[in-house]
Amino acid sequence: MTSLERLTYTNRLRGLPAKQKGLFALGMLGLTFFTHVPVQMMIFIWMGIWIVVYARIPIPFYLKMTGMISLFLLMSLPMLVVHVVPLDEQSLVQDDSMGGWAIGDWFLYLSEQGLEQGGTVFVRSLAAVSCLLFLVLTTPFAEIMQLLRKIGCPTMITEILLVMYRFIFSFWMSAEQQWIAIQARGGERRFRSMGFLIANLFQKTLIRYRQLSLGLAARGFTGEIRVYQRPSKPVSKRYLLESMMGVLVLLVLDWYLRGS
Amino acid sequence: MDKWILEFIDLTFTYPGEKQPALRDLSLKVPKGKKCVLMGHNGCGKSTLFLHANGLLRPNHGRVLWKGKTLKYNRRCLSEIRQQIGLVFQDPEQQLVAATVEEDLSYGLYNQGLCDEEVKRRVEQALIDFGLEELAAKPLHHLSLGQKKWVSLAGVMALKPSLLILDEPTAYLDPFQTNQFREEMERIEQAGTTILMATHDIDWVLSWADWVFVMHRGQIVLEGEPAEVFGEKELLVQLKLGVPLLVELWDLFPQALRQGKKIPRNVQEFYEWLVKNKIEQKQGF
Ligand SMILES: Nc1ncnc2c1ncn2[C@@H]1O[C@H](COP(=O)(O)OP(=O)(O)O)[C@@H](O)[C@H]1O
Ligand SMILES: [Mg+2]
Repeated sequence: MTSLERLTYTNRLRGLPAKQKGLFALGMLGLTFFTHVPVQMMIFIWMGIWIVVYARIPIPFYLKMTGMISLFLLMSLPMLVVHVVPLDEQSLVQDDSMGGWAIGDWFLYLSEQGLEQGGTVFVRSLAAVSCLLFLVLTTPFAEIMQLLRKIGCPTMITEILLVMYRFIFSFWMSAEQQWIAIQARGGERRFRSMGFLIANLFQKTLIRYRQLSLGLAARGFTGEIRVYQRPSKPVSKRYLLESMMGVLVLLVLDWYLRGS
Repeated sequence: MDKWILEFIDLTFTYPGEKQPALRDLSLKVPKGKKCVLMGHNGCGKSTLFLHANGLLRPNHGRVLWKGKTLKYNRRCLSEIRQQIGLVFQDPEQQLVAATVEEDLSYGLYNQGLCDEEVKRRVEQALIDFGLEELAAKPLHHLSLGQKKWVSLAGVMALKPSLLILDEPTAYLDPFQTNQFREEMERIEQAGTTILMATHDIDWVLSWADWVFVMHRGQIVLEGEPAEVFGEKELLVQLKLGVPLLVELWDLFPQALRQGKKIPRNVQEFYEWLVKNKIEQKQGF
């Protein structure tokens, strides 16, 4: 969590305006929705290059993030791949079935169509995730917020995000501190310490929440949290060129695939 | 009406679920344009009292007067008073709300209804005044506790409130920041700001304050000019408060020499008294 945060401040693409990165990520995200599987794979690879080569996000870190996300995606695949029909309709799905089991009155089988569908969904999701990861890993939260405000995102949403952000970090920090404190004081058995930590954190979070609302009020909260906007940085021509060319190539490729 | 900027009258307050009241029939009047200090051991209710100043807590009994008018707990009055009273909490974590340092500085300014231009100018000024230029775009949770405290001070002081309430402002600061803080205070008091501060820094209280309140178990037990208050050495020790080094020194001199004299407030005054007294001593013996 904290290392992700730090990366957003230290990566090589930090100097690019959030608008440029945001538009690029959104554009690529849009592409993943209507292009074919090979193009989506290329999007995934290309975004990986942006993240690992251009932004210099450490490869292990990136692999861990995508690995974790892939795991989540894979976990939802059985829903698509495993189909269930009443036992007496087994013959109807003979063509689609790649093998199955009869369980009581039901027939559970691996669907060929489902597998194909699952594969498509998996690749598309991964490509989409890589676009979002690109933005999230290279752009500090504060800049993403400014971007959201600039494009007219409702203030309610940006405020909730802001408070959540402050909250998550103060929560995370106190979790870290607590853990250190427990260890420093010879925190006996792990499991008991863990339970203690969680109970304590819960209480602390409630207190923090109350305190933060007092703090907001004391500083003259007027119903909205308005903050200073930094003037945006100049657009990088080199990266703009590459992103435009890349998008063009992908579009042409996709058109070609459609024809065949 | 003009003499007192803020008055607490017979405040009683008990935190929900607690048996002991945190404030008991407490009365305290803050003189306008003065530098006031509230002293008291930890847990005597200083922070609780401060939260009553701008209506963050509502007393069970008693009332709060702002510039002679009773504080009303409706939205408009509260927002008006909160714009005029700057309150710096003991724990900076509690009052930093935005994502980065400069954004946080701007938060209070926007709440005062200033325009973008003015906010920008004041934010930049505050960054310079508090030496925060390098931290401007840093996220708040990357700062140390002392730096956070410093930012929270800057955020409130930049608002130029007519009353500035500081809850243990130097608690987490390093010596350099403490000095910088005192210089900044000087600038603020020259602008005519009234200051009410809780602090344990007794040496500084003696030299700096115009008026000192001593609090114990939710009540004010002693108030007066610093020299008078620190004259009550036995009482202060009994209340678990120390006395300034200068007072300790002063007490070492024979009663006859100190008779009718005020306690010197800083090293310079003490030195002058020494020099003068030496001459008198020679003449006397
Ligand atoms: N949120 C709270 N809930 C219950 N009791 C509290 C709360 N805050 C403070 N107290 C209690 O009120 C008393 C006064 O606390 P406080 O005003 O923080 O003292 P000080 O600032 O002088 O150290 C203490 O006994 C403390 O335990
Ligand atoms: Mg306190």
